Amino acid sequence: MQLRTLACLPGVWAPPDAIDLGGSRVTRVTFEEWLALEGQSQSAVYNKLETNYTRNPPAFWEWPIEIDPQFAIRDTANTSELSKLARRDLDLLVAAIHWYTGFAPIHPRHSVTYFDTARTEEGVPRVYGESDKEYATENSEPTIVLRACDAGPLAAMVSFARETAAKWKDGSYQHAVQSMALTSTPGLGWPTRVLLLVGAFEALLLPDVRKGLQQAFAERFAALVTDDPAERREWVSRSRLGYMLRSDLVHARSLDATVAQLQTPPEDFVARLERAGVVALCRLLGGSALLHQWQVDSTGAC
Amino acid sequence: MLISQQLRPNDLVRFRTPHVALAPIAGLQIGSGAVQAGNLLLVRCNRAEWETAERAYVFRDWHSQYYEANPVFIVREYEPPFEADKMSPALDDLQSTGRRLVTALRLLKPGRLLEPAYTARFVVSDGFTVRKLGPYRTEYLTMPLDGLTWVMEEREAVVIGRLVATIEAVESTLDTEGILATIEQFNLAHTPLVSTALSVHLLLTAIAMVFAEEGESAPRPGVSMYERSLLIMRWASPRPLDPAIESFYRERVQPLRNLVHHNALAERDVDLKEAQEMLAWALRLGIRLLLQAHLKRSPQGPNPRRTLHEALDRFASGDTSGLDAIIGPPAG
Repeated sequence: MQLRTLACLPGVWAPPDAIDLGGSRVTRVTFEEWLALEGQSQSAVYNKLETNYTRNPPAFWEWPIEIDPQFAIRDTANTSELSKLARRDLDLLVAAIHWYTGFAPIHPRHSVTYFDTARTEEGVPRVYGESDKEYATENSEPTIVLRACDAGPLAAMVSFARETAAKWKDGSYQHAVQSMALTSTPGLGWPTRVLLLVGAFEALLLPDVRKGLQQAFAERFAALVTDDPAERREWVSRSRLGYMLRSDLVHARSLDATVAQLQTPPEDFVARLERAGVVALCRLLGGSALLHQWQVDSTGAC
Repeated sequence: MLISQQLRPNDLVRFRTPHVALAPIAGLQIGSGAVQAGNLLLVRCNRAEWETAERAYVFRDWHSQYYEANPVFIVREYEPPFEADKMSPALDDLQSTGRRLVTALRLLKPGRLLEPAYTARFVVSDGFTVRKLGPYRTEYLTMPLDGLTWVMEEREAVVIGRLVATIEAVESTLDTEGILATIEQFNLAHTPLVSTALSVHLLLTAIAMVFAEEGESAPRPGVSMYERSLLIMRWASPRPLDPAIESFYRERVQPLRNLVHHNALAERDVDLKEAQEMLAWALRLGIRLLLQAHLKRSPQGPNPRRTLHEALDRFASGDTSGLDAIIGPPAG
């Protein structure tokens, strides 16, 4: 049987009309509906939340999960199983939003997921993450804004994430995906973000390289970012500067000389490099023939 | 009347002013009701004080376990007038102060902590509350209940206060991007955001940022970055180092680094938890000394990392004068 599942998307803003992702949707839930999911009625504690909820409505991902009917019975062990099933799909959505928007969202596992089976006065079976229901009640400062026009591309990205999941959930990519997602952590300085970004790609792009790391990194990263020869030359230059920033930081050299070559504030430069990093990662995941060529020998020591 | 005071009439709200900023330091536990660490006031807020700041539903769900969790808060009291435009700076101040404090605690000794940016920050002003909440917003209540703590001894308060002040001073010094990025790597490696494998990667990068020679990416004959890691631990340890530490830095860390950098970690059986601990130990010492070296750097003086390396290289032949100079009082 199919079970309607709703996960609160922390820090995501969605328009009043649902965004159809083909088989799932990003949607809003009225306050009354949310109270019903929570098994709450009007009360002093919950009435306080209504104004904020209505003014800054949270976004939910609504999708069906295929379950054995026995899991629909209200029971702690069943909820735990449902949570595991939902988690797989949530990982796909998180990856898709990150790769589509260029900004990694807070994983919905930290928030609340509702399994819309047997509704009782206690609401529906649900699992809370470490943020409890906070993101469902407070969405005044969203970090990701989705609109109706995002439906098609985001749906395509969800499909892409699903098709390539076996690859990016594997050790070699998992590390890079996680490292890139970390660059969206609030409050990180650009030096740390460039370390994370270059660190994410070094192992993927340079498994066979022992010398001339900087040039090899720059050329390979650029080759993944664009096929256009002129643009690629520009990206070789940019990628090299990114690698130089990383090397300056690791080797305690002054950053001044490299920063002077950026032609843009370092914050902006790193943000652009991060967006290009997402493109490069997706092209690698998509099966770029370049990868096979580079991974001839990935076992030697430095 | 607060619900807390109905439950325990002695729970009084003790803040001096009606304008207070609070941020829990998830995991931190103190033995007394309050500790002054430098210019930071750390308070084990009573339940009534907590109730003034927290959401009603969180209070309702958690109040019965509050005194088991015993969370510790940074408390900032603001004198009136405290207008609305001061709320946001007060929240920012809690974030940066909380980050510095957690960094100092992590640099002092191992334990489990989480910065307020990931959990919660509150500003209460005349009964009006502004909250900034993160993805781990209830962890300041759950971590102590789960035994994930960092216990502060009373005698450590002075050192912690100094360390926080040192970090703040280095943050406002030019040309410190490297050490600050090293600290961010070190802190990220301690958050639940990262897997153990990525944590080890971040710590290995931080080790290179503290102990590697310019241009050194792999150990060379003589004093390598891993040899310096061992030296700093030997210097700080009153007893000979555990042979496991010696063997980790002499035999296992370089192959581990190769596995991490060549994406081959999953294929091998490696004790990553042990690696985390070993790497973090050397980093705690290295970063603290590097912070000191930054503070003591004269305008024309050598790079602070060079100063640290020279001091460690001298210590290799039994001369502690370089390290003594780094930790000693400032010249003049």
